Amino acid sequence: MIFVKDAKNLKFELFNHAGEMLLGQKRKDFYGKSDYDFFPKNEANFFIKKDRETLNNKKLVEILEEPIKTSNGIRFLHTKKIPLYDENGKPEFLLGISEDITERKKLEEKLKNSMEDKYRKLFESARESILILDWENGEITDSNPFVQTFLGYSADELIGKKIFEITPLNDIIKNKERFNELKEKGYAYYDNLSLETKFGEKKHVEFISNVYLVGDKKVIQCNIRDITERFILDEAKSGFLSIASHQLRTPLSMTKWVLESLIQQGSLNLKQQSKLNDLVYSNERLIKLVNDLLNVSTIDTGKLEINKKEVDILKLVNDSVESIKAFANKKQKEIKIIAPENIKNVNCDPVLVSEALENLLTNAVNYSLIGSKEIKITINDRSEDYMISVHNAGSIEKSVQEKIKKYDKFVRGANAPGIQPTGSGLGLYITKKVIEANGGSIWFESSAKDGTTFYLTIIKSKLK
Amino acid sequence: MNKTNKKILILVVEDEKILIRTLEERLAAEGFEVTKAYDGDQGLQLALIEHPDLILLDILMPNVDGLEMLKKLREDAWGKYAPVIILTNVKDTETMAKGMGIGMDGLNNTYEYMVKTDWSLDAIIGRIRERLNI
Repeated sequence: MIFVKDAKNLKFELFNHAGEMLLGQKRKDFYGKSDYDFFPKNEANFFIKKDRETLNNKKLVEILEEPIKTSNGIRFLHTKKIPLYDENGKPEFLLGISEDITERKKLEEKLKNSMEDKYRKLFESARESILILDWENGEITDSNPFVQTFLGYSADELIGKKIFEITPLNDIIKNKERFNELKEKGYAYYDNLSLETKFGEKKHVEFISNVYLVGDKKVIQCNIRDITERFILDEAKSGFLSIASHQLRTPLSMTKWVLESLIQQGSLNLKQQSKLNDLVYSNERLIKLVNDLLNVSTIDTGKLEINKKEVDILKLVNDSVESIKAFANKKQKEIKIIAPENIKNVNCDPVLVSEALENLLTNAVNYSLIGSKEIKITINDRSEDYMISVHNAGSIEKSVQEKIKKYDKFVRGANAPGIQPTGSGLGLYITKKVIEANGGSIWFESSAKDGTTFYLTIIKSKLK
Repeated sequence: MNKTNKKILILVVEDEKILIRTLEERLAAEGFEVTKAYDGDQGLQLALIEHPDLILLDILMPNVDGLEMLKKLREDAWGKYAPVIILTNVKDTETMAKGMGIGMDGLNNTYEYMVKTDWSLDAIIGRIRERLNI
């Protein structure tokens, strides 16, 4: 629709065919008339106000959406109003161009409804519990049907209540503690929480929650996923490993002790002795593998126990070197300890940390260059901790370095099985977890020129 | 614990025949007198009758297991402070023991844990001698 109004009295001067069609009136009926002759007063007021704004400010005014009463019912227009000037630069006319957006608006509306419908269905048919909370006070504003299936509370019982008032939900949110944390961070994830449902069942759940805006209001969405079955499986797995380890270790200890007795009798010839020593070696390898697997399982199920003590770090390093010495000598390697004066105690679990040190030393011996004799273990005094480095002359392939940086399980270099067939690829994983559990960190550098150095840190004792 | 005229008596409680035989041979070779039990029930009876100088105790055994036996032993006036070395292959033994309320008694140091696969016979003998101050 295009129309022109007189700038002084805002009466219609021109009106096009599209306007006739839109409003359902002949154009000649408009000439010399104003908006008040055709539209309800409040509509006409609005049109006139926009006309004046256009003419007074001498610039285009755009009205993105305005309702207008026509003989065909209410239509919605997108209108632009432009002043037209006389030769003195004064507005003489007002040009109006209106696009009928009623159909487009209906379509958008329909689309919006169908999207809402889709998300509503997603919400209602989800096989996990979803709650929507008011960000301000934790009031439940919506809950999906699965909440009732799982926790036993219908939407009617929940909506309008605060999340803390519902026992199993309060189990999750821990008396506002986690709610406040979530409010602040805008995101929360807990991989294993326990609660008791309205039916009195104990369940393990994964809890994922995030904050977002609906309009200008902050809401919290909480997804609660039942992981009870997975939890029971994990427990069973861990129990199985514990039993399996016992079952494996029993025959391993028999072999170990019987071999030791046999060798000690001393009535064997050299060839027999050497064969028995091969058996000892092979048996120790199995023992180490079982220990590694057990360690990984303990770490993975979060059951690694840390018994921190006051520890003389120099003694710990000496002992670790001592226990690797025989093995290192066999491989024609020498381990050199470099330590500063006046070493203070550290605070760590000595059993776990010496295991970590022995792992690094064993790797250093195994993967050092054939011609190079020396392995160096250095204690560096830093303000809060000691940094211990283990260096050898071998280097790690670039691609393997990337893998090691992730400290995954079973990472081994392409040439590693050729050098050291007995490795399980678990050592570094265990080492990293153990050091981190003691509050330290671990990293490494490796190049063909400088060899490989692994670094780890152990926190100094606060005592003394 | 210094029994000059008498041989030192060690009670081995262990259900695995090969392990008990190997231990017995070695202990005897070292000059100890050995008495043995194949489960916790027998072990407890023998301990309370013979009052051994040291008990080597396995954990996973039929009938009465090692921790159960230890718990009952500690209820006895003599058994309360009897030196015990737990020789086990079970992970988490210490946790389990604490769960049963029989944690390591720091004052008397009346028992300790050794994982069998981690200890050679030589090392076990060494540890026994240390414990008995001989």
